[in-house]
Amino acid sequence: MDAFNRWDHIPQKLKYFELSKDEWGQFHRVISNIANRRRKLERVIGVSQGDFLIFNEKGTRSPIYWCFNDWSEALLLARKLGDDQPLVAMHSLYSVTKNWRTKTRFHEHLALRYFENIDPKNCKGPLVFGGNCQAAPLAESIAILTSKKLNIQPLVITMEYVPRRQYRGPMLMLFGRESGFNPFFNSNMEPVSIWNSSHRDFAWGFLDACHGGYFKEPAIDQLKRYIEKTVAIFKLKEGSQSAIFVRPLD
Amino acid sequence: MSENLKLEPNTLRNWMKEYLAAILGEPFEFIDPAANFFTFDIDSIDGVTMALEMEKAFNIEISPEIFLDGLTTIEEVITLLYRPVVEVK
Repeated sequence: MDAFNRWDHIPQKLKYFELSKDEWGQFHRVISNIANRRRKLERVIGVSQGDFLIFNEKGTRSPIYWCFNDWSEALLLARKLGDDQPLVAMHSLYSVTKNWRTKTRFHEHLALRYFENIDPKNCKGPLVFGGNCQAAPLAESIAILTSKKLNIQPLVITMEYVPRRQYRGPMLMLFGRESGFNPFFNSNMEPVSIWNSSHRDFAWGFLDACHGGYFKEPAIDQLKRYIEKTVAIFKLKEGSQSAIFVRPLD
Repeated sequence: MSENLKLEPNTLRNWMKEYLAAILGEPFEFIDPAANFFTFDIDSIDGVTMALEMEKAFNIEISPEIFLDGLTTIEEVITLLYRPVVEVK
């Protein structure tokens, strides 16, 4: 399985599967499971806001929204980014359901649920959505919804994910240098020419850790620097909440 | 558990044993400080919250990721956190 075809289970366009009554029941149990896990961490840190867990709430910078596969990842990134950077954490379907068919059917419903909780008026700067591995397509879906419904193009930062849904706005794609998820390392296709055909503004970077180790040192330090640099050069376009991502990112 | 405990091996050991015993619902004596964290039925959220609670209790900074490595033991955590003060004569 190469870095591209491992994401073949994701439809290329946003697709809302019509869920049966039983499936809706299962979906709500998944939401409840995510919430129970969130509450475990919230006992010691973070503030819940609906489905989100907010870290560094008193920070003065514009919040970063990030979809994680585990709430512990959110804590590690929040601490690394520092008290002045609010982080709004969401949770993917990872480990709350193991069935890939279920993940595919629930995906856009979860993305829509998260999107409806985001208020762009809370952001002083451009919207930034991030997501790692299985959570990255969620960030992508939320960005597409934001673009279509609010006419705002957020910056999307992904880890270990080759964009599937062709979000047209600015993207930073990060990969483990020798990871099976890295299209420069594990594919016969040339990724930059593919991205050139579908994206106007994009950049990529590499993290020095094995898959699953990106929220630990030293990779999390690299991740922090990528995020900070990318957000800093992400410029506002004529005062609107859309932004131009100036590339290249070195 | 009271805050600002003394940072020394016995206190660290007892604190971690008590903490794990409480979340696992096991007797204090059953928590083996030489056993790695895989042995205990804790997940990553338990691991990072343990680190945060320990920071408050001992007024120190701890990298939560040390509790995410299932191969680490309580004794190894003590070795990482405790540095005896050596008097130079």
